[in-house]
Amino acid sequence: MVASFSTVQPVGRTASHQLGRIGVFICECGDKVAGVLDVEFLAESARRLPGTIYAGHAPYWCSADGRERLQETIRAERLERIVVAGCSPRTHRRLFQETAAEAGVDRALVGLVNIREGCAWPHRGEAGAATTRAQAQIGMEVVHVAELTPRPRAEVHITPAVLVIGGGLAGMTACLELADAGVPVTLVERAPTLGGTAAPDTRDLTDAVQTHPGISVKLNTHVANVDGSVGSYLVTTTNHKMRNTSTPRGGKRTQHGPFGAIIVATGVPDQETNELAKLLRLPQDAQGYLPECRIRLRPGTYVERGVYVCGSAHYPCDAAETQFQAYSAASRALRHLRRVKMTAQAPVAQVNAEKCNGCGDCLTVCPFAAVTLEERLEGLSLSVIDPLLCTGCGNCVSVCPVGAVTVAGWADSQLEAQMRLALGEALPQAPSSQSPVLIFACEWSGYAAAELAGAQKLSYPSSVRMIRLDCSGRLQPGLILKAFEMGAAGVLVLGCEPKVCHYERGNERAAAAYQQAEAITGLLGLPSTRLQIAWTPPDDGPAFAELVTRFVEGVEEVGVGK
Amino acid sequence: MITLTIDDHQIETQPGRTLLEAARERGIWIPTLCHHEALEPYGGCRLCVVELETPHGPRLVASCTYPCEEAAVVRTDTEMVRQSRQVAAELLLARAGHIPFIQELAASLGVHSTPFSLPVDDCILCARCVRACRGIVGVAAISMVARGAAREVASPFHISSADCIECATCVLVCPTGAITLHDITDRSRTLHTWPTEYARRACRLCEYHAETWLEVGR
Repeated sequence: MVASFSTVQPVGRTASHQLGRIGVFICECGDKVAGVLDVEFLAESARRLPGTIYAGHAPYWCSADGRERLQETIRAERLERIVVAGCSPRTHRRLFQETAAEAGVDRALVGLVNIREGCAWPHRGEAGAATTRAQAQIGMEVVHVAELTPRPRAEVHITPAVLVIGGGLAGMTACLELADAGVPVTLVERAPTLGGTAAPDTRDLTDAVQTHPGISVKLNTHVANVDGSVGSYLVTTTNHKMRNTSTPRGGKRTQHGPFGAIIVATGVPDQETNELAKLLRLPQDAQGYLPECRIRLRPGTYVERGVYVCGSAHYPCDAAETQFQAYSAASRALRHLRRVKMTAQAPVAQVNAEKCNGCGDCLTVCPFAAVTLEERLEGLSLSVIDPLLCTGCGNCVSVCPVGAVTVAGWADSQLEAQMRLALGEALPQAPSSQSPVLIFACEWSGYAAAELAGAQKLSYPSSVRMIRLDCSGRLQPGLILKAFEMGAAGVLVLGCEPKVCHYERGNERAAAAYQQAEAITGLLGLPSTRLQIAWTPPDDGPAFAELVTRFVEGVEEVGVGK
Repeated sequence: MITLTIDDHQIETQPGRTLLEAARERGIWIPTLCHHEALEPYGGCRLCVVELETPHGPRLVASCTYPCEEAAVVRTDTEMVRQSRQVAAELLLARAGHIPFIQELAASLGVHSTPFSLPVDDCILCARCVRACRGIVGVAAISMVARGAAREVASPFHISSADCIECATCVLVCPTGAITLHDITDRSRTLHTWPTEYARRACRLCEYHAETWLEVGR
């Protein structure tokens, strides 16, 4: 199920050799930023960063006039990448991306660094230290943006047709709902009759489905294979007239499709459910049920697969709930089809075929079923990543034992460059208790909590430097050790609370990386207080401020002498 | 270009700018609450009202939504403006006077107490969260529901929102700290969270000691 590259231009190699023409726009936010930070100094120091050819400050870059001036500057200086230092990327990223895009800068090459909630407000009592931190954070974002690569929009068309697997109460309800909305539906049922477990009580429904002109019913039919990709699945079925319904193999093979969406309504799981789950790459729980996977990422950063589960395939349901789920699945499928086409512009993981040994670790961790293994001639497999499904979370990068996977913009070398900037000032001298504490923060939890703490004007030590990650699961032990080598006083890893990771299990992998790093730092004699992992809810600013304050105090107490 | 007068300053601005944008560009302070730079103007809080000269006499308009017009004459600090803002601030104090941010905002307008009495609530219905969810994040996990005194921010049908991506942007833009993720998602991971009541009954098929869960309705 890997998308053909015809819809997607190949992603360029990381342009580490060319830094591009970077512009840094420092926002005073009236006096909210300029009242604490020395913006003139920040602009001056930004101008000295490699690749930066413009750095300036203004009262508001986000106002209509400010954005106009920003665009004029982009055109006048022929900027290719920009960094806006001001407020939260979560609120203003889209605004500045659109502004920059109108002036000819690729949306993906726009970086935002929050020096308002990030530096000015939490450290407003210590203007000098706040400015120093802002200087480092701006530098880190410039290094990050310098090595981003533009990614062409991956675009996929969605075929307006639906396949429903399972002709029970759930499947038939979904069928009727979709067919009444004018969508051609194909219903596949392995038994010789419709109805499933609710058979005696569904006569009206069965008649309605069988007589509906928009529904094509295939009885005695099993799903044998699923091909194609998002938006146009091709499904091969086998037909048989035998009474034994547990043998999907054999019989006449027919290919159906393409389908823009697939609804799985197979009822309580059995052996065939396992095979179907493998074909559609749906996660299964211990009992074989197909739990709901709600994707909690920003629209526009991922492509919805268009596979929905309803009824007792989820978990045992009564009739009312089954029907409710069927309506829900049908409406979601309908919404998916009505998009007509989908675009995604997230960074995409790439596999170095020379390094990949086909172990399949990335396949097991990918939360979006974007990885498939392809047979290679030498008998080894090769991991292939579907650029449409990849969201660039980087969980595959951290599990790859041979370092074959990279995510453009989040490669180890780039994170190291950020770390070097964050800790650079500590490098020439022997590490002292003044050296920075590095925070690796998942943008969905730790980073959000940090911004909230700033917005609530809570104070925490200014010696921290924060590296924002898509997911804490991106982190690997090597990077943590590298941070200590570069002179970090402490390393704090922040991820989502257990079970609420936006990439399913990224936080568990972060915990594993932490444990490995902790074992090694322990052997090296580093006090355990200097390395910590914590789960931070994104809507609890006070908890974040307290956590960081206590961590930094602990680090200062043990010192960094050893 | 459009030329207008704000507080005796001649201001040149592009067509399509709001009065607030033109005033801010010139450095003229106008208080705001529901306004957010990354969101569409809303005109909800009425703190940004200014006085506009019209043939029928002076009139109050919300500067965050009112567009600049050629030769318009606008005043931001007249008695009428001050009174209107003070009433708005008094109403805010009556509803959310326990929130420090609201106290500061009211104090900046010279309001320290309120003659009104309203049911106390953290939420002041500025709709920044709702607009951020729709306009910035691109989903609509929450919206304004009901009207009048019953108006509130809620997830659809007051049950856990399936569209919420738990980005906490609403929490970040909320000026009063009234919203948490718990309000929207209840930390649930599934779509179907309504309570179904179950009762224990002996199983008719297996041993009488064995019990199973049978639903007896909700």
